[in-house]
Amino acid sequence: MILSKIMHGLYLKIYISIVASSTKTHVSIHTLKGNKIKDTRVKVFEGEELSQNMLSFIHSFRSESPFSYISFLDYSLHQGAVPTCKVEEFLKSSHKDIYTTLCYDSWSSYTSKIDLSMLEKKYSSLGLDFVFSPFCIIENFFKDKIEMQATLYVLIQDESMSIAVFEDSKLKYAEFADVKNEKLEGELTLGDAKAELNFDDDQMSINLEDVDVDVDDGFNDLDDLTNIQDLDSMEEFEDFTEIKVGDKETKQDLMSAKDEEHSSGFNEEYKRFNAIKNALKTYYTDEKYENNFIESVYIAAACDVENSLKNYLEEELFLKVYVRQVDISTEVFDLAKREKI
Amino acid sequence: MTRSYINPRSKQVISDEMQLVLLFFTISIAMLFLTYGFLKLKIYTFEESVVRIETKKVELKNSTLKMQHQIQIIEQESDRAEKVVTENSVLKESVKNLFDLVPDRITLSEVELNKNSLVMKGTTPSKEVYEFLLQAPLRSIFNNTYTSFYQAQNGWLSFVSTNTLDDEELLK
Repeated sequence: MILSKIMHGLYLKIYISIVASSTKTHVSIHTLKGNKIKDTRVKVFEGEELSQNMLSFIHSFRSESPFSYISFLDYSLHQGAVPTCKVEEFLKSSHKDIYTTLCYDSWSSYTSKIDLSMLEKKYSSLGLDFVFSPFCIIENFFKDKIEMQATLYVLIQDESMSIAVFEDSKLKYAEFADVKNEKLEGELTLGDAKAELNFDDDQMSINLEDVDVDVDDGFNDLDDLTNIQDLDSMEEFEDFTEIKVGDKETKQDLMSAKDEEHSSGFNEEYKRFNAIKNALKTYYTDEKYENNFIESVYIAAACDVENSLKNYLEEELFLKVYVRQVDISTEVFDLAKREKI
Repeated sequence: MTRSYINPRSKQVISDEMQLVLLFFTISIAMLFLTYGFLKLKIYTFEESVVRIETKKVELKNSTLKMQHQIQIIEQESDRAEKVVTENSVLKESVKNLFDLVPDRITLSEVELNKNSLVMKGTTPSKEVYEFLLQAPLRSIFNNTYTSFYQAQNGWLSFVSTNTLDDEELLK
């Protein structure tokens, strides 16, 4: 024990925080001598894959000290938090075993065991030391605020949002929203059609009556299939995943995809607003949660958030909105620093 | 309170090669210390046994002296016993000779034999018998002979003969 303390005193401590999304990965490295931060480096890498550049960047710092700790912010879509340590009260009994849960004072967070093991496997060449829930970031970042009356706290990242309601330092409600894949009202894709099918977890049966698809609009092409032999003539069905460069139609498709992406960028704030609205609706209506009236919302923005979101929340939901910029990797470092090592 | 879903991996301060080298040196030093300790223990036990042997040697020496003293005593006693036996045999011979010396006609009632004297009490039929048969040999042995007679009830004479040797005679 004493030897360990001496060793920790002799060497630098290197905290490597990784915050990944599907498009980019933020890596921040904090070098500590004792309890003082000696050096801080931040680098953003394209994509979420563990590239050679990222590995060499991290290894160049790791080689300086044997005491290097790699922290990761959990980005699993199957994560959340519940206002109790008895997670089974909130999760379905069949789901109980597929989540890893962590109890704090009066609440607990959970994440998918499979996602967690996949994450550990993905970063096995580096080796992860800590994986934190974004709800812990909210709790830590707004620690001066969560003691107040029921208030909504939102951590906005590039592709996701962590929404939580804290009252007297106790979590009352939490939800993790995947903004990137969320569809707005009116948008309908094959995925949505599939989603709207009523899957019964226990029976695994499909109630076709519940399928809500505009037959006139979406399935008109099926009229062309009255003669089954015509299927052979529909070549576009065979290789629809392939994109041939130089093909005019494909170029047009790519252009239209870009336009769609651009328009979805405009809708991003609305998607976030929608996620917050839905979360509030669930909080107020679901009997599982003890609800009190929420007057204000604190937003920790880890990415650029347009003013429109604030306007939506103020005008549509009549909330007092406070936005703070957050350096999420610093927050992850802050959590890692407090862990017992 | 931990906020992480996973526990941190244990950190290795020293590389595997360095660990091997350190292990080698540790084992070597430990073996040296063990050898030193073993030799130290052996020296201690040897010193202990030396002290024990020294003590035993002194004890044996003492017991040898004691035994020699006892042997001396025994030898002295043996000499004395031998002397007594010799003296007894001499005395026995003397007594035998003495009784051989006494004629059949004289009866002795009491004989007291000392270192340099012989006192005999008895009866004799007459003074002449005594003087011829007994006094003559006594005079040849002893330096001084004195005999007194008195009348016994049966008509015989009782006598008390006192014979002594001179000191010079004894020394011879």
